[in-house]
Amino acid sequence: MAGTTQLSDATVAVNNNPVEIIPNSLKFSEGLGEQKARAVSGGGGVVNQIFSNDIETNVGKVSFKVPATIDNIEAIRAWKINRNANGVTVTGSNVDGTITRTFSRAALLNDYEVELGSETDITVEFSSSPAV
Amino acid sequence: MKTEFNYPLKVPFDYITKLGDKEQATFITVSAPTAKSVSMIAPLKQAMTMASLGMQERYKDQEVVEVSDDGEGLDSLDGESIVAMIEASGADMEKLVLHFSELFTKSKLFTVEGEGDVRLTSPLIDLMSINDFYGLAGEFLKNFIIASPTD
Repeated sequence: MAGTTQLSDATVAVNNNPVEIIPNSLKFSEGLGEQKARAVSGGGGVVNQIFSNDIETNVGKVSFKVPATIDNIEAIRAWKINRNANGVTVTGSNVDGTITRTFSRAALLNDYEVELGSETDITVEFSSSPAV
Repeated sequence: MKTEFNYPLKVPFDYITKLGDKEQATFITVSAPTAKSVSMIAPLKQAMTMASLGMQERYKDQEVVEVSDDGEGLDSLDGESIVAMIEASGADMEKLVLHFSELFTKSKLFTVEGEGDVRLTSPLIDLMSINDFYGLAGEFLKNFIIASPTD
């Protein structure tokens, strides 16, 4: 029976380079945005719907955690300095098939925290153009 | 002296440009290696030599394409044919493919054509078709290993 296996192990690449992430830490939003539906009255009991896209919310997001290694700290700093000239690719495969999402013009908007320790992670959150 | 060549991809793949955009790669530019990459190239050169000797022995009584020391005669062979010749010689292809992958991603000689220089990396190799992988490997051997650098 197809479609019974949950996807839990995806490959992440930033600027065409592979990134080793903490398992189960990957999340993304497609950036398809929010829609609104409003009712308008035509009188006499006539009600119609006005549907609209809230373009302001068409922002892709992809986030994951990485261990606080020197290589990762340096890489994240470079991504931050690179402003919105980053690209993130997420590829997931299992017995049911493969999905790929590309987040172009991606930037690290927030001032991420680096916590040093034996089991500490850095949370990386990119905002981007809607995923394709 | 040939300093680089372009390998046109049979199956284009997507990559991220230096501006963070998604683009389609149509060919790969390969720069001539220097001695810096010699440890990655040595096993490939050895496999090529063994294959060449094996072919000479096997077909010594037949008319075959002759390749002189300066690479003359190579034009009739494409990259995939050269890799097929190595395969036929009984080389350990599993090891050779790993050597090629290492060469493609670590030597800094392979760049994807597009906005600026985007190096070929392992996620991009994963997107490359098998024919293009072998074709690129064979063209590298043909242009820089078999042929003379003055070709």
